[in-house]
Amino acid sequence: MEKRTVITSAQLVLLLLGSAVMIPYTTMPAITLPPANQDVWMIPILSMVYRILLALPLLFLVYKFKSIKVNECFEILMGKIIGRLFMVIFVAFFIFAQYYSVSASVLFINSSVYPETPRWALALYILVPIAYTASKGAGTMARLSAFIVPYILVTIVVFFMISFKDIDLFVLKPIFVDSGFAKLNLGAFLDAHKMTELIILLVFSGNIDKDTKLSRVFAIFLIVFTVSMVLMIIPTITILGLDVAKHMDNPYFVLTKQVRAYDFIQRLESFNVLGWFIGILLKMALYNYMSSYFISGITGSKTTYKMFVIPVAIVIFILIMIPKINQYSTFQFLLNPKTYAAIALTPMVVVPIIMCIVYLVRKDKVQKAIREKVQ
Amino acid sequence: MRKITLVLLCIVVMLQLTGCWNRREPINLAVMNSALYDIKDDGVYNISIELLNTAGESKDKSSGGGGESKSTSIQGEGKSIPEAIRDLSSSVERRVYIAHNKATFFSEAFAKRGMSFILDFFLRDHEYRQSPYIIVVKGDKPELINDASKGLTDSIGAYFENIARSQMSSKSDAAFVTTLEFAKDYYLDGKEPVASVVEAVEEKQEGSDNGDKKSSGSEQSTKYKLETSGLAAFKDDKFVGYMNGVEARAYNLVVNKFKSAFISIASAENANEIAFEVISSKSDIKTSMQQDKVTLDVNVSMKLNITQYGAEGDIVKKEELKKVEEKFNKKLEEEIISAINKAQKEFKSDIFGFGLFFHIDNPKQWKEIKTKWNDYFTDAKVNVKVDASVYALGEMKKPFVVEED
Repeated sequence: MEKRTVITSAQLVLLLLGSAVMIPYTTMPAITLPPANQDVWMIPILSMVYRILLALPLLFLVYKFKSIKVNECFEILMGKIIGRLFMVIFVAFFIFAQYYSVSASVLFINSSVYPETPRWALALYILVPIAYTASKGAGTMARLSAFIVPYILVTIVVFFMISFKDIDLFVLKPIFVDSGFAKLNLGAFLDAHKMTELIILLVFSGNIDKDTKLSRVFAIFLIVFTVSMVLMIIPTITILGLDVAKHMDNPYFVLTKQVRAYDFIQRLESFNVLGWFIGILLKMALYNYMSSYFISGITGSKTTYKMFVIPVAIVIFILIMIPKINQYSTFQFLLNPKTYAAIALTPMVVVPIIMCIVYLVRKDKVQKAIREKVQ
Repeated sequence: MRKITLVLLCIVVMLQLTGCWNRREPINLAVMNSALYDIKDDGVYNISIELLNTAGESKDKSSGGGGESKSTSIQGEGKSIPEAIRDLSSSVERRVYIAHNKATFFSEAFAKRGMSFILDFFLRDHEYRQSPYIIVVKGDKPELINDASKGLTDSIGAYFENIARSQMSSKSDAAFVTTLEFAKDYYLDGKEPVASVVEAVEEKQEGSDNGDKKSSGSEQSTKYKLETSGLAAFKDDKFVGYMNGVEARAYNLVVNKFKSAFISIASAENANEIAFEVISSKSDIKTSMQQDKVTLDVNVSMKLNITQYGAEGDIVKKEELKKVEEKFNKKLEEEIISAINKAQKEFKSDIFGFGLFFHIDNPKQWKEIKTKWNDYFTDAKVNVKVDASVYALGEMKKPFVVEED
């Protein structure tokens, strides 16, 4: 029997932030989303609405199943067979998301930092610490986030402050003239889909205290995330220029290479690389943990998630090494926000909605089962 | 078991510390300071790169006189840029490290062929930074810049980086454009890119041979100095022509990149000049379109300081000061109109970025005409108004020639 680790509200916010902020920190897909013009900085602000709407079913489930393990939640609601079938969907998504993140990281390191280091070595260097961190469990990752995420947020603020003098707001003109409301909304909707981090709340529901105010956790996370994204996007598109930024694989990293002040503050990108590396490790460790956790839920109560951490890492390593899937064209297809949104839609929205409906239909039985579990 | 695992872990960690695949030992690097790209008539690319001599050894010790050279140049040739770069490796025993490149020079022939493919190369390469200046070398012998005097600096890359700072804050008669700025302007709808210019200008003087190039059969040594005023205009990615220093100053005034300069006007009473130091300037551009013709209104406001007063009138008197200001305004208006007209008629390229303002002022019309903007710009009516006002007269209340009452 595993000891239940309690994760505080602050740790939850940091875990969510650490995972979510890595997307703009690495590839900044928002700038290529419709309308893909000078108005893209509005996307994170507008997508707040969509993020809330998409998160509602998940938040509802987590709220109702606080202190109950996620696999138990699935079984109570959907029964053993369908519950496990749903968990398979989540496992498939987590493995895909993990492959996606490791692959993006290998691509970034290969193209921007260490071009001569072989792919297998990079994958190994990434996967070993991930597997180690994931095997240590939710509590360790939550405590780790308290060190890593504030550092990342500080780099975002510091880079914004140092580059502030070079920000040319003229680039953002004309505002809201070329885009149209529909295009901006499409961009915001696609951007909101990317934020699959909220599933963390569902997986960690067993570690959340009954007194935790989930709405406050979500609100703080959403506000800090949106502000961070705007602080990244505005200097990137105004200093690099929108089109140069759109052409880059890692626009934010390229921006940090330009940041300099007073002749002696320069070549600061290593701070960004450091933040990115530890941040992406945390994010991938979370995904590894979540997939292992669901697998242990599928396989039965006699297994623990620790047994699946290394096998999951090996699967990712094999996927990374298969040349056919790792062709640049395939990767670009997967990297496409529309592809990712389509894949993320099922675990993020469809399954939670179905579960919410089932909850409302079988409300009394479910509540009784929850009470029994809590006692 | 735990101890054995820890020991093994320590060994593994220590092994990691010895380095990795991408380790760069400074002793094995040839640090590039600048590069010159040229293309010959037969289509062969020629790259000449200036390397910092980190060991402080002079390649040509026989040169004498000026001490040891801190930089050395190597050349490579090839049918494509990557081939020419590979060819460099046969001239240097170290790995060329380009992250410290400060200036990238292009011959006129190269710039006329188009810059997009080389920009793609620059932006794609992980080592190449976006900060090196993009410079077109005036004249048909671009390699002469390597022989020219570099002031107090040893390498042309460092020289250009320093002159970019000092010249903009003292004369503002040149454009110093980084790779990133060039790429940004290239992509912008409504603005064409410009680049910096350098020319090796011959200065003949008698005297001893100080290690500079010696012309055969003559006792005079041919010395070159670098002239960096002006700018190179582009249309899309192709070089279309030069602007001289005065025109480049007007360009800087319009695009708000002007920092400071001394500008003088002839006084009416005698041949002495009145010199002004421009403390600050700000341009404001308004655009409109009527009956398919674009009108560009450029308003430049400037703050001046009088640094030399050669006229006889009393500058303290309001009407005298106004007269001087009007004369200054007229001169600047003419300069700006002349520079814009050159871009319109000669280059047919909107290097000033009026298209960006037209986009903001007339977004609906912009959608219809943006693909043909350069045509509209060429036919546009230009109104320039300069409003300069003298803020300070220096340490003197009255001109030197005017006696105190």
